[in-house]
Amino acid sequence: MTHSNSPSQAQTIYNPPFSRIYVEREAAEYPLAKQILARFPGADVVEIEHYKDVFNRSHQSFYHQKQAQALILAVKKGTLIYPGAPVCQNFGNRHFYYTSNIMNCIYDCEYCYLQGMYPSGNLVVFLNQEDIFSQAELLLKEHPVYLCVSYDTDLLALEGVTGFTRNWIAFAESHPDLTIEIRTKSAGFAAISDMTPSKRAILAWTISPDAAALLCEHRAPSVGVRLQSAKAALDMGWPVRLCFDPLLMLPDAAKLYREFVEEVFRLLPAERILDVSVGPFRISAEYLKQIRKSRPASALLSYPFEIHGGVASYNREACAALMNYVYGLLTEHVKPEQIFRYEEE
Amino acid sequence: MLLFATALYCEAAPIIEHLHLKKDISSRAFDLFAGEGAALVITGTGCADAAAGASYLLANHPPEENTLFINFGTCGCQDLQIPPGSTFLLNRIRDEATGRVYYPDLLFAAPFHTAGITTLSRVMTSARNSAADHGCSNRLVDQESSALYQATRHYLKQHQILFCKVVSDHGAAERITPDSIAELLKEPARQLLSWLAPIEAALIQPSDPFTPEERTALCTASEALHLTEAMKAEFLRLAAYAALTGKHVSELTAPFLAADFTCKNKKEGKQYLDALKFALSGADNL
Repeated sequence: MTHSNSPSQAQTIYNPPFSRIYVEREAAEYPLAKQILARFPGADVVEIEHYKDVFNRSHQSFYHQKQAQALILAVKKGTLIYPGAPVCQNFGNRHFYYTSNIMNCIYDCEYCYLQGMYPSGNLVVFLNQEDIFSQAELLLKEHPVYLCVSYDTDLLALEGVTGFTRNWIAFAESHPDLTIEIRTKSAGFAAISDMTPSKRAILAWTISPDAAALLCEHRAPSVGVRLQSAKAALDMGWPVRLCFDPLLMLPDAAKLYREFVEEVFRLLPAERILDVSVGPFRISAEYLKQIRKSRPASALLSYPFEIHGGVASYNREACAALMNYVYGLLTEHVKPEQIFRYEEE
Repeated sequence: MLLFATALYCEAAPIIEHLHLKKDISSRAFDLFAGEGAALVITGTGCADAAAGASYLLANHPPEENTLFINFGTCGCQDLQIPPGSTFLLNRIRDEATGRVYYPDLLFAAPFHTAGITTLSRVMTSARNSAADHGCSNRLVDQESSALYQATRHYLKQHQILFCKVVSDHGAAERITPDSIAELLKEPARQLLSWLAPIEAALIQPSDPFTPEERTALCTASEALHLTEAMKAEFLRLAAYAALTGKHVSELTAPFLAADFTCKNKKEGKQYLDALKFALSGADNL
């Protein structure tokens, strides 16, 4: 693919990330709010009543806001933990849930569903993590819980700002029936490397061939440093999951993925990997429609997707071929029972 | 395009002068000025006139992706420490009448400080009789911002709406004349315009992957295939994907433009379209 929708050429006109911080009146009372504000002393701080007054405004440009991302500090009310979505993998866990301590991500991946899901590219941090813990404890009274804590964001990438990952790991460690997954593209393992590894906190790295990462995972760390981070975690004894998801239909996909899988397992000891997930690029057709408007020059998004049950993905034959091919490559390194394939419902 | 709204002519004067705008004598409802890549409306003071004037401007100059709307003008200030001439971009607008608060997006690195403003329905007569009396921390006051924000957000994305305000007085018995305002705004106007130019240029995203010749060929091929409007849109998207992935659009259109190519109706056209879609899907690449 020759074209991407990289924002780099226009970056100089934008404010730096987090140079504007909106703070809910109630959130301002939290010690974490004070810590975060102290971390960004030059920020333009604007008091707000409710995060939705800023985040849910009409006619926002996700794309442009992402180039000058503002931070919104808020307190979330109501339901804080949700049942896992069908387009997400449950890894064999019956009681699969997710939570959003943070909405949005600091990276700018062209394929990201958040661009279609959220009205704003700004980042909302819900400071009341203790309230999420309380709701998790209520669920734990009913049954074991498998909870994905970094779905609609990248928690580890923001660890230096929030400390949420560390808190989640400590919480999981003190609740035997809880297993959490912390999904990330960051190279930020060092932020938690002083902790004792927890068997109930799965560190899951999303990885793609370098060509794909360079083309469409803007501002995300290179795959090489992600893998180094994963290796450091493995060496310390953390459970590490590798997510080959989304698989992207790139020119020379076969060669790219073959070389990539070889590279991954040259660096990482396959026998110590907890498991691997593999899934094709898939997105709500409605989200895709919106994202295409904001990224008109994205080769990735202009692919002639097929829509089945409201979900857009690659041509079924092409998709099956790509999935089978990568699955085959993975079985050369890990046992089939360790590989979780996304299956269309 | 840069679209300006000011309440008074004396606030518009430095912009008109810098951009060499000419009065549009055909405009009857409001005084409208226009030039290359810019237009300006003088709305008059107060919310109703401001909203009507901004809508008039935007209806006459329909906004595009790189349009920026700027409310430029003076404001009062309740903080005596802030001298006249101080220039701010607004990050918070409180409507005194309704209590609603609006938050303009400030995405672009600017040479100005930011501040909140309260839009009052009457002239501020003293620093004490100001926003502070209405339980608001905003330091600035005016009579138009909230209405302009509410009117323009129907036409523009949030980041395209900007408010640049210059402190003219503290509501005391300061003597303000049209000439003194025009003089006061000269330097802020110069700064504002030099700040806006690169932003306007950078807001355009590459959106058309085709050359004019390729576009003509695609239209001719669409006709040869008897495509409906919806099918044509799909055909163009397929061609865009081909172009963005390094293929030549001419190779894609050539079979349909050949002298011996025949396609009887849209049903046959759809078959060709499906075949093209399959060929581009990568299904046979693995």
